[in-house]
Amino acid sequence: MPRCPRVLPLLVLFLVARPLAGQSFVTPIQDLDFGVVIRGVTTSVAPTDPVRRGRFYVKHILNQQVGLRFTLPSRLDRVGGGATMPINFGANDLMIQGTASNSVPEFFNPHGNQNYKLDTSPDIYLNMGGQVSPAANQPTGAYIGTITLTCTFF
Amino acid sequence: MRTTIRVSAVLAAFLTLGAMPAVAQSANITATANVFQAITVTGAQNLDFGNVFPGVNKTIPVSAGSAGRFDLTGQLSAPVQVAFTLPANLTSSGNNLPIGTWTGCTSPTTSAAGCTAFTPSGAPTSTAFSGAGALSVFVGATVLPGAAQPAGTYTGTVTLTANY
Repeated sequence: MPRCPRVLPLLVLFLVARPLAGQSFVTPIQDLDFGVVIRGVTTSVAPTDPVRRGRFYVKHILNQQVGLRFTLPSRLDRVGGGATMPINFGANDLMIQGTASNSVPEFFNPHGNQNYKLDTSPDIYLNMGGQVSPAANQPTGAYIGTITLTCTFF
Repeated sequence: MRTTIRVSAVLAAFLTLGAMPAVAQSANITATANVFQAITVTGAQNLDFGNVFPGVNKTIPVSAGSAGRFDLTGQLSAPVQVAFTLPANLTSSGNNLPIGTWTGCTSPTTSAAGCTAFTPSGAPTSTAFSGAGALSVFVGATVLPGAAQPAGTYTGTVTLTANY
């Protein structure tokens, strides 16, 4: 009884300092939209393109790390079937930028897993670019694929 | 003894919470693209003013047989924008023949009958390919020869640029 009051405050402080479940999350913001693509013409979208880039938002805790792993398609599927179209992601097609005024955009290869430290802000935007390569005889129509970002909050 | 047990339990809880596993979450976006066939543009017919006399303006309407015509092909039923680079003058050996106004008309066929009028300019004009992927653009204009316009053959170039 006499020593409990000394230990209990430590435990309370520790629990308060742990991340809450709802405090850390990843959410989709914008699809990667190549728009109109001409048969036989390779078309790229830069991660800096505010209209066409894909975008995720991640929030965690300042100075903590987030593990970032993308599951990327290698082909887009024609809606209605009958064809696929190659899609590629280059060495600088992932741009990460914090939300603080002193946050500087950094470019990465989305194929590689990243452990990203949130050293300027507790939240970041992840902008995705990419490149599609329709064949000269590519069937016309809408094509679609899924990009998955899995975040591990440390 | 009771105190020791309590402290150990608290420490155990502390250590357990400190080793709490990282939490993972996933989110999806889609990558989309619309594949269209390429646009082709053909200068099908020149805009021909024929004989023009000094001091007498001459207009070629879009419905005239001597109106200019571009034929385009592209994605079936797709919207398309057309823009022009238009000369301010026709020229002949350093002499200018001013062009006053331009007229335009779009049609799903190579006939100007029932076509949709517009004013050609450098700014894009929205139109669309037919269900067969065809589009014709007719161009007319008015030339303004001066009273002392030198005789000669005057020419200029009209360029149409199309984009989805």
